[in-house]
Amino acid sequence: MPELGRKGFGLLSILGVLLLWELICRAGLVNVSLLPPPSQIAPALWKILASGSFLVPLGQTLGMLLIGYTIACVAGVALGLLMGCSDYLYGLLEPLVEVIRPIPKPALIPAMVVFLGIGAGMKITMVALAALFPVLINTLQGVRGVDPVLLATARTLGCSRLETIRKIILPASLPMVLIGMRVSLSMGLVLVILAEMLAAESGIGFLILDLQRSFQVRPMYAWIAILAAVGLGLNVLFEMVEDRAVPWRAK
Amino acid sequence: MLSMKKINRMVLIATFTALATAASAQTVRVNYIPITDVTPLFVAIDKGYFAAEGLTIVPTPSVGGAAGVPGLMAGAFDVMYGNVVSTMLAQQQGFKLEVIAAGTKQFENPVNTNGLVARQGDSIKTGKDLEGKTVAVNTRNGIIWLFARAWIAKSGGDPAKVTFKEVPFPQMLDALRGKQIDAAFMVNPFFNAAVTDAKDFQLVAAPYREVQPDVEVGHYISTQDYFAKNKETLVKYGRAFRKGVQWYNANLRDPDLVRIISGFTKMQPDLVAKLDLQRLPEVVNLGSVATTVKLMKDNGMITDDIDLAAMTDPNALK
Amino acid sequence: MTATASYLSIRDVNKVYGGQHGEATTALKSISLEVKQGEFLAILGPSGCGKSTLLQIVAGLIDGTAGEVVLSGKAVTAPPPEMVYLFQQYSKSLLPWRTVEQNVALVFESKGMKKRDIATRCVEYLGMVGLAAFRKHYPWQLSGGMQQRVAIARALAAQPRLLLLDEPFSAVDALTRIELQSLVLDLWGRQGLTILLITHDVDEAVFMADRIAVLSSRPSIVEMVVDTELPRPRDAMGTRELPRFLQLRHELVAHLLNRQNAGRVDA
Repeated sequence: MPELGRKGFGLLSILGVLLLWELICRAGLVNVSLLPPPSQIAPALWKILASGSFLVPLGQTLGMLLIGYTIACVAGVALGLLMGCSDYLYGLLEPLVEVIRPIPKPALIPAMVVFLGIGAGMKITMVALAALFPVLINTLQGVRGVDPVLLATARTLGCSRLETIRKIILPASLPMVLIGMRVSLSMGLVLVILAEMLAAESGIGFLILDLQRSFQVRPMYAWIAILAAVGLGLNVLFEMVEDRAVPWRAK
Repeated sequence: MLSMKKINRMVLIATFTALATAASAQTVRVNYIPITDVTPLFVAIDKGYFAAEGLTIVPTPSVGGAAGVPGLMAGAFDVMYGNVVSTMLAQQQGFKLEVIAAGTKQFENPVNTNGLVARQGDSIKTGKDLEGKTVAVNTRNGIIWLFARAWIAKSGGDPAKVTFKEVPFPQMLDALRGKQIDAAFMVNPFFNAAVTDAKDFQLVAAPYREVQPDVEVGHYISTQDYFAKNKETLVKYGRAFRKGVQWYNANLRDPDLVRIISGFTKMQPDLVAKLDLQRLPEVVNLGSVATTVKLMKDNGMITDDIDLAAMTDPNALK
Repeated sequence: MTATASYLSIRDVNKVYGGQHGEATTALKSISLEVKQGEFLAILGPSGCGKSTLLQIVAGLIDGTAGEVVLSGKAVTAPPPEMVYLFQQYSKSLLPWRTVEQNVALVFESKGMKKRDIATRCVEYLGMVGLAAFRKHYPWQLSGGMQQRVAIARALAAQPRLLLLDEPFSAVDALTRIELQSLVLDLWGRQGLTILLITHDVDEAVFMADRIAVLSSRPSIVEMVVDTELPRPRDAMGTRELPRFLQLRHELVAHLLNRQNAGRVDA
């Protein structure tokens, strides 16, 4: 019962905000042409959902996100593992990582467009770049944070270096890796939308900008709502995966 | 030798003068696109016509009407130069706008001041050749975009098969040179640089001329709200601006114009000097606008009729 | 049954920390002990005297600053295959993502054994510690005492000849402790292991060991070595009530207390 109560409260606050928004619009405190009330956005949203016209842009955006994200996760885990296990590689790569990581990835989009144009390649690259670093850093920390008792146990039980990495280090750092992957998912979504807005001709980001350019404000907000739902959905999915993969993390 | 005391005194006097002037003058914030179309605005500022009416103009640049309208609605500026298509789209969506002055009109001129430009050597002759390629427009859903599509359709191509990329006017040439795009619908002063000085480019077509020769491309708009509350100011604004247009039309070869245009477009004076400037209209022609509105309807951009007279300042018509 | 030559030789082991950028602290000044095969030696000392450090040096997990450890005639530089170490934080030594059975199986993997055989062996060892019924459980589902038994089962599965126990029962309750002590003694007796046990619990040392080495506080040396001289098999209740038990216990506690008090007076 308490679980339901807590989630119920959360829902209440969302409804509260929507109600406030509606009232502010009706009171004339904002320019309704620029910020329409939820009661006007809802029909536009319904139209988009009912007609199924949301499927194609959603598929395009999620497709780019998924490919770039997968690349980033594979590369991030591999690099994080290598750097965590090898002092030599760490010394070699760490300065490079520390220089590139703080650069806000959106700032690289114009440069990437010059190199890669405005197609799928650019979008996937941007997602991969943004998603790489949280996974890499968290994997690195996970590897380095493996309990020394576990490592010593592996040594005393006669495990080789490779065995230790495969059987002890990787599973032990999995909770941290997943944390990194979750952050990366959010960042990847941000980048793919941004890349679509700045330099593309398909996907949700492009659509939102296009609607703004033709001043179709209500559908534009409807799409933003869809985007919010997508972000939420991805997070929930991720939590489910996390619960399955690392059931011991809370113990 | 300037002592600290003297400097302080000068600063004080300057501040007071500025404040005094500002206090007596009315400020009008104007949003513009840095293209030659808005030269009369800067002429009027430069020659003091606005000041004579007691107006201080604060200009801010944007990439196009589609980008500027939200700012106008939000009150970021009072008047803006935008394209007719964006204005009609906005009006259809419930944005209440008012046309207060004429902007640009494509007259029956022998000289091209805008057009579709491609790289020399690429064989692009018709709209069909552009299918599967990328065309740069300043913003999507504006007049440049609409006429590019209309020309493509007219010359045998399918606009749906063409990719339209948003590139600000000043950056189109570089994007073309850098092969990020295959063609660009450019306007002056940038268009001139592409087709006269740079031998690497070729003119493919002049879409305005080929689709609607008398098209009114741009105009100055404000919100109906601002218009209702500031009739006096806008009358003064209109007078001063009209003077700017008239001076401009009468002095197309004046070196002063080179200086002014170079100033607000940031283009080098020697390139600006090569421009063949064309006259600009003093009044709005509702008939031309109506033709464009019909073109918009045919392209599915708007569905309902628009009462053009109701949204145009009568002063702009005479 | 017992060999005359030492099975395990600890000679002049010295361990110094720091020194490069700060003050050097000597944890172990000089430790020398000879351990016979099959012997049960307890190392007793106050907290922080370096007992764990000594044990880790013997295990080959860390290097001493000076001195050497020789096992079966070979110098120890890395964890020898015939040795297993049981950690104080046993719960951290179990792999939480593996079941109890899979934890024990870790020892058999990479030996090229068939899955069925591994499973049989695991059940066998878990049976020795009485946990066969829990083999599909996860470590975090078990109590502290049961986790320690899993660690013991896993250690046994490695079929060691030398078992090093680092305060293995300090974190369980008194009753569980008695159970586990009896279990270890039972296994020691049946498998013929050599055991080194680190503890700060005098009771435990006297109850379990053949001999007890008492370490001083830092910088540690071996202050004394006593034979417990108690009959085997040891009995949880009976042995603890023998006069020799009480006398030895009294001596050791007094010794430790004196030194502690002496330390206080000096300080």
